[in-house]
Amino acid sequence: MTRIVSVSRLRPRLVATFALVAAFTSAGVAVTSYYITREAVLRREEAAAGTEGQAVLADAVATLPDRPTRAQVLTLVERLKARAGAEFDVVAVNEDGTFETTSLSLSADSVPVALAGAVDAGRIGQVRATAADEPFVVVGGRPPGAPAFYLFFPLEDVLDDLVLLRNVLAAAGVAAVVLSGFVGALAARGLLRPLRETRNAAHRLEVGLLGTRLPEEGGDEFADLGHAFNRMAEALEASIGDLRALEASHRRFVADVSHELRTPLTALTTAADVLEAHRAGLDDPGGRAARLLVRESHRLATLVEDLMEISRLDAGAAPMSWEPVDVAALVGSAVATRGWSGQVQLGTTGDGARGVTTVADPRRLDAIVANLIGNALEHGRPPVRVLVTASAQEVVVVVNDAGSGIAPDHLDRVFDRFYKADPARPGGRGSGLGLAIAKENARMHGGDLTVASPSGSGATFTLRLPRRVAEPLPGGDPTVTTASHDRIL
Amino acid sequence: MASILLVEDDPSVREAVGMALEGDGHRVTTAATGDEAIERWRQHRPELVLLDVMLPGKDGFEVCRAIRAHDQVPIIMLTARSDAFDIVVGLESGADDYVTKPFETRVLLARIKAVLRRQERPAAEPVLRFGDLVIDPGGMAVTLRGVDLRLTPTELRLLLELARRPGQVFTRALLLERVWDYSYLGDSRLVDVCVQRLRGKIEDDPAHPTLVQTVRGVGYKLVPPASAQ
Repeated sequence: MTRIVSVSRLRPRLVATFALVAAFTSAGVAVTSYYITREAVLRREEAAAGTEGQAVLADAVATLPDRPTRAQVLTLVERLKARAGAEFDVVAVNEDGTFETTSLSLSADSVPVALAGAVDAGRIGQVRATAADEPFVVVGGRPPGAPAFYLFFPLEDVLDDLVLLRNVLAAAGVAAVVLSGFVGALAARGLLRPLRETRNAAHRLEVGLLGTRLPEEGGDEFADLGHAFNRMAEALEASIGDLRALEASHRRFVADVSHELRTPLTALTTAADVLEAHRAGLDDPGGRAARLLVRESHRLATLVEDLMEISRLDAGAAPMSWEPVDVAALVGSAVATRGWSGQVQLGTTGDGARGVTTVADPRRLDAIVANLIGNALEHGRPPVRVLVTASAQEVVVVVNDAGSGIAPDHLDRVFDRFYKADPARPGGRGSGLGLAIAKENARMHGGDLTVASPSGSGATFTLRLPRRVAEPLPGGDPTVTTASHDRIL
Repeated sequence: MASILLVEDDPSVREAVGMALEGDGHRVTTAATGDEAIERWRQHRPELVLLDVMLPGKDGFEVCRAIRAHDQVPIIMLTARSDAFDIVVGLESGADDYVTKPFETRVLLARIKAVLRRQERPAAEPVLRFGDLVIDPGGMAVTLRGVDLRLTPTELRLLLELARRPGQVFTRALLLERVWDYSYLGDSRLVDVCVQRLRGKIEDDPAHPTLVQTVRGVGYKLVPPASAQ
């Protein structure tokens, strides 16, 4: 299965995008509005300070005589101080550089140089400046013959308000980022849920749950996706269903045909056997024909039998009849009952020498062994050797012959149905299904059947069966098992 | 040899099998339907019945049960299917053995011979008693509390085999060989079903057998009641 990476990475990506957009937007809005507000506020403060300062100065100047005495200047400074209150501070700078001040922190040095120049030139001026580490709007002017008066309007309160505004804007920006990150996560969840559902549905389809469908509610893109997905799943289900039905009907057909053939075949083989018994009384063309008839009718019977068997195996309708089996004894019996004792060398090693017992279906095991030995006798060359070995985990039966072996091209395909390694050679007595059935039977035991044919030596077939202990028997009581199990099938 | 009732609906099979049986020295009566089979059995009382499963009218299982209700004659089922269902139902209906079509004539003849051999009285053997159960090998009779149990020859042979060595465990393969004359090629279901039928006759509670016991994963043994020893 291919992992869909984007689903797991989409959520952080979406959250980051939302947060980033919010950060840029809110930072832009905050910075712009802060500076616009700051400029407007300061301008207004400055204008107000300028207007008031000039008014104060003009008023002061009007009260001063042409050549004021120091006492008069001091009186004016005191008057200005009295009027100033909390609103502003006053610094009066004499021509000789001495000064009067209403604030401990302000002196003649606090006066901005540019403003001092303008005032010395006889103008009333104002400027924004920092004095004694605090911001002020400074308004200055000099009445004729009087000291220069500088009025310091503090901006600190206004700036404090601006700092507050800045902090509020920053906090709002952070909140906006967090909030949009959260919204991003929510959106991702909303987006990812249908994605995850689609992925899971695809996975369920993959493992064969063809009835899997997606919800198609709503009119959004996901409903569209669901609809398209469902149409695909329906098409898939339909075509796989068709294929399965077709396959099942083919199998049924093979089973039915084989079944229908059985009755006439029974008559045929039985009649052939009667003919065989009386062949001695027949003259030669008739006798030869009878021999051919007998042989071929039995071959046909084997073929039909094997077709039936493979149909049952295909349909999964071949029940296992488990019981403890002495494998070496079974091999010996399989050889003896078929009259092969003189042609086959039996050997056992390891546990095999002491009798290998495992739980298996003896008839299926007999069929496998008989097929392998029969093939070796028919297609290989003697001596045919059968070796039974065993460990605690498995029982292994190896059948090999001293023939020319099987060409590598054919090796993979010898278990295929009706596969003939040498098409030119007549098929012999076999149905062409024997090895396919043997392999299926090995699998029914949870084992496997393999073939090897190293050049220079004959073919070697290896049957491996997992070793099962007699207790407990799969399914429990053998009496009950066999009867009830078979009834179901 | 023996008189055989061959029940088979297909005329060609009937004729060919009839020929083969006669060729082996048997006397053959044939029937094509279930009802005809029961009629012929009543008239001729054959020594063995070869019974096809698929018959028009009464099927082979019904015929088997009908005959079994009155007679312990050996019955071999001929089944066109090696379906487990047919085989088990056939055996449970009381058949002694079965042969699947298409069969080899020598296999059929060997099965017939083996079943007939079970009919023969064993050489004089002492009567065996297990509690209320009395087995008389010579008389081919088994009684439970004095009542004749009417065992089929196969059931009797199976019981005798187990009873001769009480307590010994018999594998199904061994029983197939001793009772049915089968080698490894035999079907162990023959043993299982026959044991069930036997228990149905000799056990007080066939669902919880005390006499013929299953040895899990191995086979069967006969356990004599404690009072008998």
